[in-house]
Amino acid sequence: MAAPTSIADDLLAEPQPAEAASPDAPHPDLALVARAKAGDSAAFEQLIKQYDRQIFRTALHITQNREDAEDITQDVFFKAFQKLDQFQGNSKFSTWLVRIAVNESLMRLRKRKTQRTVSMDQDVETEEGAIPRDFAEWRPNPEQNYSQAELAEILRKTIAGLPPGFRTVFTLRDIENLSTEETAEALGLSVPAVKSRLLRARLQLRERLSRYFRKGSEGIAEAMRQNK
Amino acid sequence: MNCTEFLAKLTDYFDGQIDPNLLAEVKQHLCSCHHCEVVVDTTRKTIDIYRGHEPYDLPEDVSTRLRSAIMARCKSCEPGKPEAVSASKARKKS
Repeated sequence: MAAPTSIADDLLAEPQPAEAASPDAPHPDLALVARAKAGDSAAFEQLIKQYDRQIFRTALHITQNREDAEDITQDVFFKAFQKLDQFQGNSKFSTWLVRIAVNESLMRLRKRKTQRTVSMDQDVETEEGAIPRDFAEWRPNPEQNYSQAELAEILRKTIAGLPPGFRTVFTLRDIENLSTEETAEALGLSVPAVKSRLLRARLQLRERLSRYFRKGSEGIAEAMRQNK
Repeated sequence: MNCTEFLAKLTDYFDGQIDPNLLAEVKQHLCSCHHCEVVVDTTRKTIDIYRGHEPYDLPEDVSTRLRSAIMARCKSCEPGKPEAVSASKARKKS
C-alpha cells in the first residue's frame, strides 16, 4: 500500500465487508448514524462518546505524540461527519472510523518524518523478531513487581520501539480487539499480511518485555526507582 | 512438526483459528519443546499485559474538550457538506 497523500473519497468509501452484519440484528450504531444523517447532533455526539477513546488510542499508538493524537481525533470525527452519507452500514461504524484514523495518523507521521516514507509496508522485509531468541521463563504475574506508573512507562517504551506497521497491527488486533478481518479492512491489507505482521509484533514485544519480566529480573525494578 | 513450522501456526493457535487436525500436532510439539512452550507462555502474557494495562488513556476532561471542539466544527456544516479546516489549522488560527 502506498503512503496516503490525502483522505480521498475512496478511503472513506466502505470496502466490501469481511463479516456482513446479520440482517436480523442490526448494530445499534446504525440507528445513531441514521439519526445523525438526519441532523440529530445528539446522536452524533453519542457516537463520539462511544469511540473517542478508541480513536485517540489508535492515533497515539501510531504517532506516539499526544498533541497529534488529539488533533487527529478531532479530524477523524469531523471528516466522518462530513462523509456520513458514504457510510452505508456494510461494515462496523467503529471500523470505518479506525480506517480514517489510521490514514490520518500515517499522514501525520509522514509529515513529521520528511526524510522517509511512512506506510503500512514499511519494515515488512525485516527479519528482526521473526525468530525468538530469548527463552527465559517469566515470573508469575511479572507486572506486579512494578508500580502502575513504572509499568505504563515500560509498556509505552516497548511498543514505541516497534516499526509503525507492526505497532499499528498489534494495536488494532490485540489492544482494540478488532478481528483479523476487521484489522485487514481498516489497514487495507490482506488477512495473511495482518497475520504475518501480528506474529512479528507479538514476538518482538515479547523479546523486549522479557528483560523486565524474566525470572531474576527483580533488580531492574529497583534500578528504575533509583534512577528517578 | 518442528519449531519453524510451529511458529508459522502461532497466530492461528492464539486466535483459536487453527485447523483441528493441526491442533493435535501443535499440542504434541508443545509437550516436547520447552523453548516453544516458553514462547507461547510469554507471548500470551505479553498480550494479556497490554490488554490489561492500556498505557494510553484519554482523560475525561480532554475527552470533553475534544467532543466540544468537534461538535462546534460540525455545527458549521451539515452531514455530507465539506468544510476543510483541520484541527491543527483551526488551532493555529485561534
